[in-house]
Amino acid sequence: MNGFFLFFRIIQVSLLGGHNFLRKIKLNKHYYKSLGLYLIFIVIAFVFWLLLALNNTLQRDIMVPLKLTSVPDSVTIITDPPAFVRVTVRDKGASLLKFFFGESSAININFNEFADANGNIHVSSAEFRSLVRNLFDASATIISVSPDSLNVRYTNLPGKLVPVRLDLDAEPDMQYVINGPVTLSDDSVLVFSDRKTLDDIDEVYTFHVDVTQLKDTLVRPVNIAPIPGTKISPRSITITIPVEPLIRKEQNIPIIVKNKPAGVRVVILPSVVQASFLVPLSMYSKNKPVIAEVDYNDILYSMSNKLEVRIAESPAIYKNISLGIDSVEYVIDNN
Amino acid sequence: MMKLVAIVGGIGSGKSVVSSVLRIIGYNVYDCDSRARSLMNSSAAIQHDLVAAFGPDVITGDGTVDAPRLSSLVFADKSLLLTLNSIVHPRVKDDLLQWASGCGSDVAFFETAILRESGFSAVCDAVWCVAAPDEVRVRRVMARNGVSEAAVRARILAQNNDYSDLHDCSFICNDGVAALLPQIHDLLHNLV
Repeated sequence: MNGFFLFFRIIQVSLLGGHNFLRKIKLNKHYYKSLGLYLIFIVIAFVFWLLLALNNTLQRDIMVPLKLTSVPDSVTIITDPPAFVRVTVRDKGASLLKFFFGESSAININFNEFADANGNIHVSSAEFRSLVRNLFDASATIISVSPDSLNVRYTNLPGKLVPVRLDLDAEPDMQYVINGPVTLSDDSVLVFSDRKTLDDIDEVYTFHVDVTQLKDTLVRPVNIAPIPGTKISPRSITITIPVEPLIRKEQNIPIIVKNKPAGVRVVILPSVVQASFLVPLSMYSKNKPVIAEVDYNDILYSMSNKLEVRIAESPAIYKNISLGIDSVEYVIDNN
Repeated sequence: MMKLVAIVGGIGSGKSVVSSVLRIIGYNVYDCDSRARSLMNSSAAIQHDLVAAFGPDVITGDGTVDAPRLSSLVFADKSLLLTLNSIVHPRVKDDLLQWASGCGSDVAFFETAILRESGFSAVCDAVWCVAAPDEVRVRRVMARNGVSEAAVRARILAQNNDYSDLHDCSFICNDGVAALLPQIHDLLHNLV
């Protein structure tokens, strides 16, 4: 009772007195002794409670690790087994203590014991329950195991190298352009499976990637879409979408006369036109051929002594090409 | 009453500039070339006459004029070119009149280099001739095309640019010194 009184007094004074409350209470030897006895009895009570609790029967869900052991190097596991098995178990608390503290035991599936010649590792429900049962004391009752059996496929065949097809919709923002091909960190991947499945697989696809309003080069990991019954390595690749700003550029280009018969000279005025277009920043200083042309056959329709000027050829990377003039005058010289 | 004005001028004179200015300030300008192309490729009457004059090969399977084929015929023989013009020009003239009547404006323009040859001079109410001194035109053509002075002068002489005998012909001086807009403004004022 003295201990409780002392505890209450400390709380009371601390609330009333602030940071220097210890000065305001007058602790004497009697109080120290009482406090010590009080704490000792609390510890003893806790130990008794713990002993009683550990002796009680408990039911708990325990996540038990699952491991495949003794797998030969030449074998590739196609379908990965679950990393953990959920076991619902009833036992005395003391027996289950090891699963909550410290390194817990794992369910070890020995490859040599359970693998058949057809590429399957099969552990039946009874076998699986037996393996689980061995982890617990004899007093334990296994209520449920999930999964309750195991089916894993494996192969001894080497992987088949197949190309990766990128499923991509990419749109740059206005005034930006995707300048160049989208690159993949791995343009092909290894696919592991049985021979029949491998024969049917000639390529793999990534998951769909949809990116819009790109303003800068994008580097992003992309997962390979899984194929049932196979293992794909690596499971993801990194794509790089090169994006650059577009810059307006002007260039004087000659106008050619196409379909002109031999021996006929056509003089056009002007013979050079200023072309204006948008180019990626990195290509601004490089001149790629842009060809403007008029068609000699258009003279057939010409009543204004002019021929329409068209863009005959331009690099695909040049955008929004426009010409300073839309037509030129012409003179035919048959001499 | 609606007035139809022809815009004419020799090579290097700048009649296209005048047409562009008129379009920008809101006037209707008939595009002879694109209409001639459209009519030749769509008019059953024109195509019928073309087949009669030049044979069935001048019309392609999709019902358009085989321009390379027709070009090779008419540009090799001046009489055939006259035949072609006699088929096409009257239809274009009819189309021009129909277009002008549907414009809904007081004034409409068309630009042509063959005013007399096409017979359009008979249907226009006024002619605007865009002109520049020969020296200026020669300099322009030489600078732009890199051809000799003699060659340019020969071509200017070859073109018949004298429209002064035509009814109500007005001149626009495009010598690079006189401002174009005031001249166009004055001519428009006189028209209406």
